[in-house]
Amino acid sequence: MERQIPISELTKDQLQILYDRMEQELEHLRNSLRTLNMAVSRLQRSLHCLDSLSNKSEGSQVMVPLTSSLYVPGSLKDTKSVLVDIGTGYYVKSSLEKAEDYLKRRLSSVKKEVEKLQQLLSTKQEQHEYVSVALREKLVQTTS
Amino acid sequence: MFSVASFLLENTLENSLVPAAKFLEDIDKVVEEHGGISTVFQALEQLYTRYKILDSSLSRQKRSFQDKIPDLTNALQVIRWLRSLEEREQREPIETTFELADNIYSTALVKNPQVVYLWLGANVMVEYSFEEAEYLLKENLDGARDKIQQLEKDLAFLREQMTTTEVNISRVYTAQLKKQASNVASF
Repeated sequence: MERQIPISELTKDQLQILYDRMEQELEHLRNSLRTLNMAVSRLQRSLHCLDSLSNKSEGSQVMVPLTSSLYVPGSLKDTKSVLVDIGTGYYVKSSLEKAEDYLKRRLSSVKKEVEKLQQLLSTKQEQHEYVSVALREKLVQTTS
Repeated sequence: MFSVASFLLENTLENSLVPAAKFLEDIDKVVEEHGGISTVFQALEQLYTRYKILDSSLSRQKRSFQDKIPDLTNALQVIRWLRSLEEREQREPIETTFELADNIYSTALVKNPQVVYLWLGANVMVEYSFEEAEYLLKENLDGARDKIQQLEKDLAFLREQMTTTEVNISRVYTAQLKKQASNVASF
């Protein structure tokens, strides 16, 4: 959204409104960034888990979660394939390598989104700072 | 508990958490005896703020107990099912699919478990027999339900006290307006 009116021509009240609105936008962007970063760390954790699975042999002891706080002792059945949740209720049985590949692809696309968002965020922050300076100047002008 | 003007509170100890607000019958007398309208007004506002803080804290506690309930009921169901397997002399190992990581599931064989592990939070996991685990979960579930009931009672009582205080505030405010009107009139 390019503003064609030079900032210096806006009144104090208009500047205040612009400042507040940009503040809101920035908060919104920061929240999105937080969510994306959480997705990145979750994907990295999943990759790590896959890696440790590949080191285990069939029949090794595990604690099997039956609910989020209840576990039972059991043994690993299949260390060559896993079920991957690809969304909308679909699960795909694939080898460890394919699953790893899938996760790595997801991870790199999310990381790209994070980069784009970070760039957008810093541009917006610069603009916000600009407006804040102009607002302060206007306030000084009107009180002098 | 509440370091607030005591003339605004009843002396009874109806509720151990929530002090009872006194309904101020004679506003003018109260104002006279306790340092003028703005002092009384401020004291009332302070009391109201404390009530609001208490309200959000109790509501938060209630919500956290409510969140625990579905998890506890699930775990309890699973334990009971496991016990029924034991009783039915089910000796075949069960194959189960479990969550390995966020979107990754793996299979495991569970044969004749004699014990379960319960995650108690704060990085603590304890091994229990079926009976002990069932007992513990049931105790926690009943405890959570009781706490929720108690909190609901406390919250209801609290809301009543807040209403009383709101009424007191508006009556003091009206008294102030009347006084200002009479001051202007006596010009």
